[in-house]
Amino acid sequence: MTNMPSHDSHLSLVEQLRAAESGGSGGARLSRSAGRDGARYAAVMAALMALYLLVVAYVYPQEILWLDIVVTAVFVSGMAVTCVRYGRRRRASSLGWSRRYSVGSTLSAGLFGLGMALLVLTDSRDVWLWVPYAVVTGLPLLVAGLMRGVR
Amino acid sequence: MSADGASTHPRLQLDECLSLPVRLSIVAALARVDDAEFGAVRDAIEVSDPVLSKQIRVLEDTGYISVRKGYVGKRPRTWLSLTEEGRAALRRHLAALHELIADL
Repeated sequence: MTNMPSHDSHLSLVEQLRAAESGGSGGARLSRSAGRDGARYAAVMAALMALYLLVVAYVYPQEILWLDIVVTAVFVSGMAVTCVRYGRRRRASSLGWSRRYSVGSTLSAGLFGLGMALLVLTDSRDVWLWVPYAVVTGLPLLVAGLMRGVR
Repeated sequence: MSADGASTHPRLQLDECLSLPVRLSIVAALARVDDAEFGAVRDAIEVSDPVLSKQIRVLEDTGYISVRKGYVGKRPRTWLSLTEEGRAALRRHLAALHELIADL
């Protein structure tokens, strides 16, 4: 802070305000683009997680070992590739993204784990139960991606 | 600010570090994101690499932004984010600017 600002003329003040506005709008563009990228990433991760849960529910009970291995490899590498691509392409994160994503992914992972436990503990493979459950599993991640942060 | 810290004139709330328009632009841009890569900030506020580098050093020394260096593959990347101190300074500076302009 200063007692005697060197540029306290009206022109300088207006110039500063314009600089702040143009920086702010540049930052807002950056944030919008980061928000779109984050939403896409979260949506793909949510879809992969939900689909994988359905695969475990309906493909694994058929006990075809090579099929189990292939689909697991496809989903695990799909998640890894999505993660790495997002990390490589990311140029910014929208406000609150890290916290939102942490909460969303933790909740989704928790629901996924619970779903896996239920699949092991029960023989029920009712579509009316597992399809909505798979959607609910991916929902926290999806919501985290679609929400916009403020500060 | 006066010795007793009771001065309230908005001119005294202006932050010398943020009085340079380019620095104010950098801080205002970073206020809209959690963090941003060096090149993204450069493009957002339309300055050259050396100008941005120089001003980032000043803002980092003041404690207004934090700089994190890392690699993506083999490419080095620099990530910038606004500190809480920087966010508060920007808020104070903008409030003072608005008040001063309204008074003129």
